Amino acid sequence: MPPLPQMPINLLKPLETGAGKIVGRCIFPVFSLNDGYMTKRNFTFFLIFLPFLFFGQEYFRLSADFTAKQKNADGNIGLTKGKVYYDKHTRILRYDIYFPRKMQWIITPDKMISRIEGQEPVIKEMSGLNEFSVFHLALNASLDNFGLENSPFKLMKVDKKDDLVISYWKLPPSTRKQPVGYIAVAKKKGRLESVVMMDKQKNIISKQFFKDYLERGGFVFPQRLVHIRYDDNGTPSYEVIEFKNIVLNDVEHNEKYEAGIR
Amino acid sequence: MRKSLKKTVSLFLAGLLFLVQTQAYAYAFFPKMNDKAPDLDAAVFQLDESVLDAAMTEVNRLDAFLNDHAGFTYDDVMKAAPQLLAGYSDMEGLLDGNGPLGIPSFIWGCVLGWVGILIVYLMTEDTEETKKALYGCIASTVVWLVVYFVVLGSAAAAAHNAAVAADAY
Repeated sequence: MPPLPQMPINLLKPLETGAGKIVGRCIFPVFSLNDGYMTKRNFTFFLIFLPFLFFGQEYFRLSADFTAKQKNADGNIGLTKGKVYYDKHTRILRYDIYFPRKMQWIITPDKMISRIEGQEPVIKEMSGLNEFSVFHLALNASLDNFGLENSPFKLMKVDKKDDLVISYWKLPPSTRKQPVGYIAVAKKKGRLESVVMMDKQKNIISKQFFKDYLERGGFVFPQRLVHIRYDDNGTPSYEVIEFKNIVLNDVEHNEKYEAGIR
Repeated sequence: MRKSLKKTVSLFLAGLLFLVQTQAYAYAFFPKMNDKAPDLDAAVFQLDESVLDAAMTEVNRLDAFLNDHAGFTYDDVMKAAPQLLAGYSDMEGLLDGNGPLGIPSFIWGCVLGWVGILIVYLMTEDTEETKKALYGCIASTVVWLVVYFVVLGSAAAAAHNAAVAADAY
């Protein structure tokens, strides 16, 4: 068998001696360097595996402790605490709630199951909600767009103020029944910072803020969501959702990512 | 010379047709898209944490109590520290799922992004409007295809006649 042709350029020469050699062996353990030259075969393998070297980590599951706080315009308060589980492949979202009462909410691609402890579960038909969840968007690394490309909104203009890049969107006239007329999306350093919704008279009717981003590899997730709604008198209602103890790719609690009541 | 003239006239007519088509479509179906975009101040996009903290004082107090008493339910807090539940009124809404589509409000906030909420709303509460928009879109596409071919045919015929006339001349 004739010897394989050699690459004319010594691409990996710096990785052949001293510390560079150790690093080289760590990065390219399956490739043998032939007198400092890469064979065409090895170079082909290198090109094939290159994407896996840099983008190998896939995030498909997420669990977290959550707290949802509410303060309504009428002064009433609300608090819900529990744990949330989501698997982007099965698209099953589970809430195990312990306050105000032990209960479970499970949202699958086609139904929602709820059960208060000690009672029979209630099942409702439903479809397509989880694809728009912050969990699904974050696990698919598309939280920054927030599904905007699939929305009926049309881009009006893009503006820059201080360190914010603000894009203004408008609903087309075919959706004239909607209370929301305009949306402004502000990004800071490429991350979603806040979303302001306006009615057709350009009055602000709600604001959402995305704070305390967690960054792990390619996974980026806001650990605090703040939603402020304004009623007709301009009185605000607040909703704050906090996530703690976020675990990615949890494989120890498989049962939590299935649709059964447990 | 005649060939160049013929090509130029054809290209001009095709370009004109394209321009008229796209502009007419935009004005016919998005007449209000050309209005002025809102212009918000940067401060609007900043969260005032002090105002938020002040508004959430009671809720944060209840939350802190629950963090110190893991596993406490509403009933447990009612026995141990009922004053913390003053103004707490979300029990019924949470339990019976009276929110839109039968989903409790906290799940709406947790589950759906803002665009998702609007999309789902459009697909459920506003079905007739969505259907009309869809039919309108299909109808407009058919009309424009007909118009496109009729006008394109006329333009081609005009270009051909011009070329024939130029030949005869």
